[in-house]
Amino acid sequence: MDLTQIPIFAEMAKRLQWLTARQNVIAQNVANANTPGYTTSDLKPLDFAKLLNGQQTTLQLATADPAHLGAPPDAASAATGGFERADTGSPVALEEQMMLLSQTATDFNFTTALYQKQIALIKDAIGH
Amino acid sequence: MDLNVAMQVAFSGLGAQGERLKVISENLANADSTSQTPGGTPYQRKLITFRSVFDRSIDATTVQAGNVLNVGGNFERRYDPTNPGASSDGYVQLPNVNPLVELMDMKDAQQTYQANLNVIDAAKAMISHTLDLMRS
Repeated sequence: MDLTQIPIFAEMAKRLQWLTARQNVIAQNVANANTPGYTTSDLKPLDFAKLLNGQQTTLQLATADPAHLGAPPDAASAATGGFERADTGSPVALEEQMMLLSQTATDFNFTTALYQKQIALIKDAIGH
Repeated sequence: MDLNVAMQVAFSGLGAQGERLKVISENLANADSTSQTPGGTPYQRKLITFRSVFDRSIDATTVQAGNVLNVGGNFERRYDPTNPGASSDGYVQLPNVNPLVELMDMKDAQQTYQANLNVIDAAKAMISHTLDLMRS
């Protein structure tokens, strides 16, 4: 049984990926808090309605080599996982970043707990 | 793409802030270091610089401590003819280190260091929650 075929599992996996990518962006903001000229960036929010309607809506160019334009997103950006990154243009506020950090960690915790509950539900259904 | 990237970036921040603290402690330790030769310049305050470095192996912007600059000028003068560093008119130049400024800088370095540690803690907690999925 492929769990990713079930929409809620696919969504949760996508959400975990997004939260991980966001944590990476926050880590970069915090590490560069004292770098002159560095401006805060954040990920664009994940749109779940769009996720539900279809996983991939944009057309991709066919490529034969990873160096080609339009190569898969994993080659383009590994740290942000292909998620869109936006520069806010403002200097790093550590307090704000700490707030985002704990928010992201809590969301991650929530999503993994939800994942566990869903697995337990399926296990109950198949009588384990 | 995984949480190790967040940890590596945070570790680079820890390293940079550690370097900063080293420079601050040099300044504070030498706050009274006058010249050994008559009329010479005393200890000059050091200033650390940071620059962001794009690490291709993890595809993320890490931070690195750059050059340490000597900030010259603005030396205070004190009349002390017996001091070995005094010039012919009896004045000795004092280092341009202001302990208050250094202490504030130290506080800032401490806070940023703590913030980087928080990132590592959060990433660790997220990894352990992911591992918990296997136990259910």
